Amino acid sequence: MKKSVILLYILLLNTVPLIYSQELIKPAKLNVKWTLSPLGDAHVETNMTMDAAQWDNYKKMVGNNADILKRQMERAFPGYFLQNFNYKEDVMNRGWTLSFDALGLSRINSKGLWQIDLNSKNPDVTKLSDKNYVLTSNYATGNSLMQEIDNISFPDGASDVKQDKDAFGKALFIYASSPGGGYGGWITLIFGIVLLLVGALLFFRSNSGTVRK
Amino acid sequence: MKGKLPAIICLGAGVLLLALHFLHFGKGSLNVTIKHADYIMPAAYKVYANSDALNGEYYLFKMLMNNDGKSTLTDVKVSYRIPNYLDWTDLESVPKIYPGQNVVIRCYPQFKDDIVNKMTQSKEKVEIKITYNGGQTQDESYDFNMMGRNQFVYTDLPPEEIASYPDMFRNDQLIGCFVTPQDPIIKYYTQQIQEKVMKGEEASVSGKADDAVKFLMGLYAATYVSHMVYSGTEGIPQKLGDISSLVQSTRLPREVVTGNTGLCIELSMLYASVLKAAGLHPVIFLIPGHAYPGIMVNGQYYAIEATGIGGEGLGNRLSPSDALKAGMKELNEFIQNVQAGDNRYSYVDIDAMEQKGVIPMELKDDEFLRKKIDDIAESFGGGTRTVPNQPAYGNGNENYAGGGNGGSGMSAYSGVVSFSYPSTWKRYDYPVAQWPFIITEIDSRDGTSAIDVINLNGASSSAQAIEYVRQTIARAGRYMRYQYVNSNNGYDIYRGVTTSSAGSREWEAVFRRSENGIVGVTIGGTGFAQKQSMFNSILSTVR
Repeated sequence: MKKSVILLYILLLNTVPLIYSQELIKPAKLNVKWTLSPLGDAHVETNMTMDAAQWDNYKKMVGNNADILKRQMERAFPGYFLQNFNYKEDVMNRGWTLSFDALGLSRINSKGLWQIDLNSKNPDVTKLSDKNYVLTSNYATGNSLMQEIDNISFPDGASDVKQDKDAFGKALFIYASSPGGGYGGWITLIFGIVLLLVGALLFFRSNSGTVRK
Repeated sequence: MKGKLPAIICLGAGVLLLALHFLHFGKGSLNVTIKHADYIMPAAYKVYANSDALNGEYYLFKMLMNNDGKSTLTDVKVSYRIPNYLDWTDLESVPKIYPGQNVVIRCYPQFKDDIVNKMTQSKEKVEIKITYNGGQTQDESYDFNMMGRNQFVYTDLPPEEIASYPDMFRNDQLIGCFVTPQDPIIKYYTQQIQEKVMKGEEASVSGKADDAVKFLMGLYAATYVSHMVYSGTEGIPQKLGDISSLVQSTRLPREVVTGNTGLCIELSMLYASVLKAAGLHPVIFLIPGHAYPGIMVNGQYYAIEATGIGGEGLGNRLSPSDALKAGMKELNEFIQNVQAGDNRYSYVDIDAMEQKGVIPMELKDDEFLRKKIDDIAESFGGGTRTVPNQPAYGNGNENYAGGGNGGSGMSAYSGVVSFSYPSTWKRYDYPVAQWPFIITEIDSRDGTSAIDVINLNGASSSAQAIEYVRQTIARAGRYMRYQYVNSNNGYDIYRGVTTSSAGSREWEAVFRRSENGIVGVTIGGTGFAQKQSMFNSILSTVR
């Protein structure tokens, strides 16, 4: 998921002179929260706060065209369909939040398990709980250090969350989950059959009673 | 009859529920949304084929399949074809799509190598077939533009999305597809230059900047003596689906050589192809309305003005050394503009783009074109023809204007600071493009000592400046330890050691405030103790 934002930050932080005045020790931090639905879509929320120089540069680059962020995200995630973008700025704290839905993040593999491709080899993954994992990555972009923290929350029904690799050595998350969809159809089918059987039973009972009278 | 009423109600409700199930709930339904490329450039067919190339953003199409029915779709298979180009090809199988679930399929078409024989643009169709539930099918299709192999479309963004200059040239990252070092014709041309113009060269083996610059000038000399000329080619705005872009007909490097003519970007692609074929690290610098080629050697850039060949009809042909001077002047301006944040100035690092999956097209050998190369190589003349002002093979971006020799064996540096240094030392402005805060480096002849002039706009203190430098060079594997010594006459004095795979170098540095930040001078090298008195005498001249 690291690739997600490299493109974005090259756009945002690449103007060299202004970078000089940034805080030199701490890398800029980007938080990305992925909340998966039972059907494999994800609600994604990214946020970042900046120092004054970065914010000034960011506003010069983006201006009132926050849709640039949308385009950058669409390029960063060609594997999904992105929709429902929402962008908020917190100018007093020099920060912004961008949220969107990523359709088709997780899918069912040939073994019937759900699978998420992480698009990186040997990511630094920390398990917070059975359904909550954190990926941390550090990288340089432009003349700035960046720390990206991806927090992934699996759906309530998920179980047996495991890390695995694909044939090319890229990391995967695999998990089991019942999406809960389609039960309406089975309920109507079962109820329908039960009602038919009950109706038939009552019909024959009432018929046999008539004969005895 | 009254006794049968509950039975009739139950039977009726049962039938109703079953009917509901089979008529409504029982069906899965597939809803499809397609996003597709409005055009395909045959020259970039290896990028379109690779889902990892450039983060996978150059796909033929991607398709969102949504099950908006009430039962699970099973065994969903997607295949596609492009009549005249690709037969039916299985794309992906999805075992299940639950009601409400979304699945995204991407298509990276494996075009055959002969796609690069397509010379003109045409409208083509993609047909997509989806089968599911063991027999149900759904067909989709759309049109797109298949460009000719020479056509380069500058952007893939619709006009309403273009907000800045880089957006208009979004496809610059595909320029590497037109750089063809593996083309047998280009290889042959390179060999002819190595043999007949350079009379042997070792730039890629020695790793020395002098040798690489010599090759750069030799290549220019080859185009000069063969009377290659600068000339324009077709470039017209076109509307391709939702995209409106300038579409430029770009001659391939083999066509530039054998046609003996090229535009700035075409000459740059030719240079990059030959330089790469010779084992060097080519770069193409892109500025508003122009492009010129260069190389990177040991972290330093060198550039040449390839269009200096002009042509008799145009007059004003530059000699190789003047073309190099012009290129280096442009390079300095380039770095200054990048430093100032002007995003119209960019460069394409061919090796770096290749690592990202920008792989050039495959071209076949051609006996006729080889013969044309032979004819051109005759003009190289084995030394019988000369180039005016035959290359002095100067040194990269050394300051051709000279440093103002004081006549006492010392030269004067004058800029954000001023000082004197031995006149035998060589000066390089902006020696490392990635580190624009080093505005000048001056190296001793033997390479064991160096002076760096540093300018950090925006830094508020020398401590902040030196820490920034430490962090930045650490990313390139150079580790710096330092300590503050004292302050004297407004200068903060530091001493330190920088360690890299090449060894350790001790240094001294002085920093002071400037109007916009911090400026400073570092001086040091190997054998610091023996040279310290010389270093101190240089530092004592810093103003």
